[in-house]
Amino acid sequence: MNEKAPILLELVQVTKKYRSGEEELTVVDNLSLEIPAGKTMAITGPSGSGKSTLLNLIAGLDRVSQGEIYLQGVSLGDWKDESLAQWRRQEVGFIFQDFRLIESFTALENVSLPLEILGEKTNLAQEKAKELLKELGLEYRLQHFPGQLSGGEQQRVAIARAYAHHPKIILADEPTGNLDPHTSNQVMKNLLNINKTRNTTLVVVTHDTSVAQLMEKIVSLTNGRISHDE
Amino acid sequence: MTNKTSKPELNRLASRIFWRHRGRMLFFALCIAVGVGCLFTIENFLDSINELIAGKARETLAADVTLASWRPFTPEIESSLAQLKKEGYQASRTLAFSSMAKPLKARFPFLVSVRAIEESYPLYGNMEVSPSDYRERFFAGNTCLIGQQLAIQYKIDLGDKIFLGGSTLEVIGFILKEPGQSFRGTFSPRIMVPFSEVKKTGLIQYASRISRACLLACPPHLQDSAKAARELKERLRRELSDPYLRMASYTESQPTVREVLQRVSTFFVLVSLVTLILGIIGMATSVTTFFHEQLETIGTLRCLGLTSSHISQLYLRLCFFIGLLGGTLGILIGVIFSYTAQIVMEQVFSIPVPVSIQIKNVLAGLFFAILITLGANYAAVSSLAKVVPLDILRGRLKTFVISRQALGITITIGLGLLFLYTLQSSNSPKIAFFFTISLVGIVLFSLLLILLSLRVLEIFLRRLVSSSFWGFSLRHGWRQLIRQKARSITFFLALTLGITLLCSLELIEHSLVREISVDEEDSRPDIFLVDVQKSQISSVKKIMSDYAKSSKDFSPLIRARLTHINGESVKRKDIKELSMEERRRQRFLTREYNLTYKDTLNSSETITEGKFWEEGESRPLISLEKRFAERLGLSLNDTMSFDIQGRKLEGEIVAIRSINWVSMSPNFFVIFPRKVLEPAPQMLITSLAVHDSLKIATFREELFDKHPNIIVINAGQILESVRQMLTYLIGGLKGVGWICAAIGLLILIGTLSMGKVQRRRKILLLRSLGSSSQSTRAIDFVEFASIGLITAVIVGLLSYSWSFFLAQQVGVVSHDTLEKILPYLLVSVFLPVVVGLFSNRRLYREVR
Amino acid sequence: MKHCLFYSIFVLLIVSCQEQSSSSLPSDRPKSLLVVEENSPLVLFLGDSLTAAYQLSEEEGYPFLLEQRWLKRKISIRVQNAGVSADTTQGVLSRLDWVMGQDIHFVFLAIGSNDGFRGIETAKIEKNIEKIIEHIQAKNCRVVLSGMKLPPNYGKEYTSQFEAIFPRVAQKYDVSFYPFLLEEVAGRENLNLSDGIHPNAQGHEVIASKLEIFFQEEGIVP
Repeated sequence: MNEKAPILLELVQVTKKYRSGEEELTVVDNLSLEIPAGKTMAITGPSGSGKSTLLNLIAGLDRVSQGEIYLQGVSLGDWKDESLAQWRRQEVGFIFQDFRLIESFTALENVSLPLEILGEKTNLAQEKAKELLKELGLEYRLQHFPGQLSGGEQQRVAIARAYAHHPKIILADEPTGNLDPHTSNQVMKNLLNINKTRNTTLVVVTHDTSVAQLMEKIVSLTNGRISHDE
Repeated sequence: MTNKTSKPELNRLASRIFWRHRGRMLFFALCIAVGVGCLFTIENFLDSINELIAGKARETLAADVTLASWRPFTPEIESSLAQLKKEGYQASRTLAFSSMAKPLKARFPFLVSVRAIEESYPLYGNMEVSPSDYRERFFAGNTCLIGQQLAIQYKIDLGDKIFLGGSTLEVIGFILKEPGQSFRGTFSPRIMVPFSEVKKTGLIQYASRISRACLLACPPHLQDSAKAARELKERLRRELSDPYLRMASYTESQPTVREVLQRVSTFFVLVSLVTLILGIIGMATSVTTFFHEQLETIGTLRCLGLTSSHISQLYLRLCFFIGLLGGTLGILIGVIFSYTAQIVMEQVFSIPVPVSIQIKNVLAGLFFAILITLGANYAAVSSLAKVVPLDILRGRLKTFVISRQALGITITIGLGLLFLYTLQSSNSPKIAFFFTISLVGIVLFSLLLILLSLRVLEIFLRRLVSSSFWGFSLRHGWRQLIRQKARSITFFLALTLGITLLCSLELIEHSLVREISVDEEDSRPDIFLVDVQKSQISSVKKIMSDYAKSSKDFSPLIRARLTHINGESVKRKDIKELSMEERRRQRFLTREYNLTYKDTLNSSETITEGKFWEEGESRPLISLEKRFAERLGLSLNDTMSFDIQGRKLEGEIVAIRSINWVSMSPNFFVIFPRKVLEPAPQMLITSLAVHDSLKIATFREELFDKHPNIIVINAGQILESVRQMLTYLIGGLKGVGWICAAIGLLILIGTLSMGKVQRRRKILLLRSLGSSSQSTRAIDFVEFASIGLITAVIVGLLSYSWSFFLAQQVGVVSHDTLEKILPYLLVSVFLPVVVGLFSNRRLYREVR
Repeated sequence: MKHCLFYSIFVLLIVSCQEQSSSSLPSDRPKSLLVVEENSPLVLFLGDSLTAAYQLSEEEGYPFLLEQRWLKRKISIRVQNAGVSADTTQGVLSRLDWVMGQDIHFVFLAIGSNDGFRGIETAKIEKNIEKIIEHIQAKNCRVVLSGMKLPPNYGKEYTSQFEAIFPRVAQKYDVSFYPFLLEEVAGRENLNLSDGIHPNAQGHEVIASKLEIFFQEEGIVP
């Protein structure tokens, strides 16, 4: 675990507070963390420990209250929303607990969506998407709509979508939260396989220790602070 | 990474969303299409009707422009006419005069109206003559055509000889129908002679009273015939100085029909606007529902890197596509509607309505539809774009709130455009203003009522503790309504406005149709009697009863001169001291007035100020017509003195009446009570319906025999053509009204069945909490029935107030309101229940 | 000749109503007009549109002009205009009671042209005129009858029969006879309205001047 890798993202004394009426809630508290490029990392912790908030801050969906997040040495805090959106569409892949596939799009269309958002021609995008789906064993499900797929299949489609545009980092928020243990295993296997071939940084937020154990690095959060780092 | 610039393929994305929701997109587009189709074809349709009526008017005048004078044409006129001929204008001369004719067999000569025509007559329309191959013989000379009436009345056969002046003419045909008739020419039977023949009669000499006319037709290469006719008349007015010359162009004839046309056109445009507004409401509410369902997709897209401006661009593109489809469908509907209207008009009313689809209109329709769709959804889209993706991701956001500012801007611009459009098509700032204002009023009023109803429900809900089956269903049904207040309000608003607009449409159409409706044939007068003396009434009545299918009352007409207003003399000053304006007013004051007396008003009269007297009133009171009173600057309590052939009569103005001049009953400016004027010298006028040439001839003969002073006017032909024109209009009016109503209902049904996704979620939840399929259905029943009932109450209130408002402002009076809107109220109660339960039937089954 | 039709009434009046009205009322009778004393003898002019001064104000009609002419010569006679446009002999018969309800010096009767325009049998016209004269004479009132003519387009036969009525009746009842009301006016473009049969203001002046001389010569008015 001591192998030196270049740092992709660096969080320096990041704090995130929410205002809820009169009360101010500190969700992430003076947290510093390095995410090395090409490594897999799990962020674990009980509900409300700030895991998802941390993920959203990394994705640029939310902004820090204090501290800095450096992306290869550049502070995200200086970026405009437009640049953050561009960062997401070019370099970030998302995997959600509830899959978040677009119901009215087929599996193939869902997967080619990030490419199309990047301006890729539809047939090229779909060609690439097809490859990915094949890799995940979904070649017979290309024209199915999310509603016609099982949970495991949906999450595999979501994984394909996350990797479609070759992002630098994949952010997975409880990727197995909605799946039974057997399917969960299957999906994680798929995820790690595909991550390995692409050598992508993978950050998984989970409270499932068996999932966390599969990662190269595990960070545990309690009340917005790192309680354990291994 | 930031150097990799890329543009998201929003077009492709939008088209994919569009395609995947094509059913609903089609519905959104249809909402718009119907209105656009209506609006754009109605303009085309109105143009056709207008042209049709103009054509009819032209046939009635038999020319584009006529010049007429009781004096011989001056050299100046002749040279102008010669110049026109050179330029390709057609001209046809006629002479018309009264004379006495005597058939060889008859003992006494009788009055005829002679018309001398050239071979080119008529320039428009047709002469119907039996036998129809009369022309060659006729223009050879020594011949005449006689009116059918004359033939019947004096038993004249073809080949008989008639003495007219110094000529003996052979009757070679009977005139069944001739263009160019006017009231002036209809009171004595017609004889037509060739123009070349008339001089030989010796009747045209110094001091003869001859109306000389020249009919003119514009050269056929001038496309816009109405414009050409107007310009020709203008030109002649400039060129010719003869003050005795009368000029008429067909574009000005038929003022009654034209007034009706103007009102009906306005109505047509309002109807199509209502349809359009209904469509916009339907579309905007259902698109908003659709957007609610798109929130998750939007959250995902934001995570995938779309910015908020991308989102608004994406959904505006979607609206653009909807608009494009709507416009295209609208044009398609327009074309279908035009052709249907053409077929209906031709089959049912035998009216040829030409259909012309112009590329200009097509483009305008497309543009308009896109503009409307973008405009109507702009507020929703811009609010959608502002939604924070995190809120969606965390499941915090199930609905979004439309920004008030964006909504305000949209509505203001929308109203402005609406006002401008109404103004442009009705040509009346008053109508445009009140249409717009009443729309705003209705929206605000219904919003208020909706909020009030929801509040009342909330109070009820708090008190409702029953846990019985219906108690449970009521509680949940109402809770559904109150929980999603914003959605409920939009929904209510769409439903109430839609049905209210339909109701009002029905009310307006009903009163308009009645206002211009033409009597049934049996009660439609075709014969008018003028100058009946009081002593002749009973005898005339007796003769009338033998012939008439129905008859109207006798209206007395008393000639008088106005002498004083409020005790001040109106006698003329030295005319040289007066300005032109004063002179005109002076003439108006000092001419002979026609007074009448009666104690009851016609259906076409409404008192606008003061109070009309009771039956049997004996004080000298006066009721004035509104515009007449305005012109004289008179109001209630002013006095007017009249000189009725030597006797003075002073009366006080106690009532001002407005008269619907379109109605065909005799109307007068000045009315006194019966007892006051009954003894005054008077002549009476009346009308009767006979509708039978033979009967008319014998009626005329009998009347002439006993009361030769009475003028009998056979206006059958002229009234028939006026009636026909009005029938065209009413036919079109009804058709458009029905189409609009049907479309409105369809849109409402579509709106009702929206929002299935949320309903499905809710049913799932309820079922997972253990409620039965029966009770989920009952809950929905409560919700839909409450919507229906509340809507019905609001619609009833709104329709009443709106029809009252219209009656006040636009002069469209509606009676028996309840009876007319009852079907709509029933529809608004049952529609939501039936449509709601029906459209969700699969959900109930699915979740079982 | 004119016909009071419902439609032409509405239509014409709608049109005329659209003209703007001016706000001030004209002041009282101008000083240039002379006023007759209230108790002067009354002369009734009984007739149709020619007497009623069709389309003109009453002050432009020949009866009022005559009154003015007499006043200038210090003859105070009150003139009552009982002309009604479109009236016929039948109409006059039915309104005699109304117009004869006053103490009348003499009646100037100029009626019949509308009967002629309507092509009524001349015998019937003649009978009506006779009845009118009998009625007036029964009230011990003097009658002056005016002759009427029809335009030549009515044909020689009818017009000559028509014209012959008036001198014949005048002779029969021994009343003063004025041969033709429109003498030197009929047929003259500059003295008639555009309809060609109703005198304009100048036409009425001519009628008045002719009548003034006639009344003087006949010794009816000094």
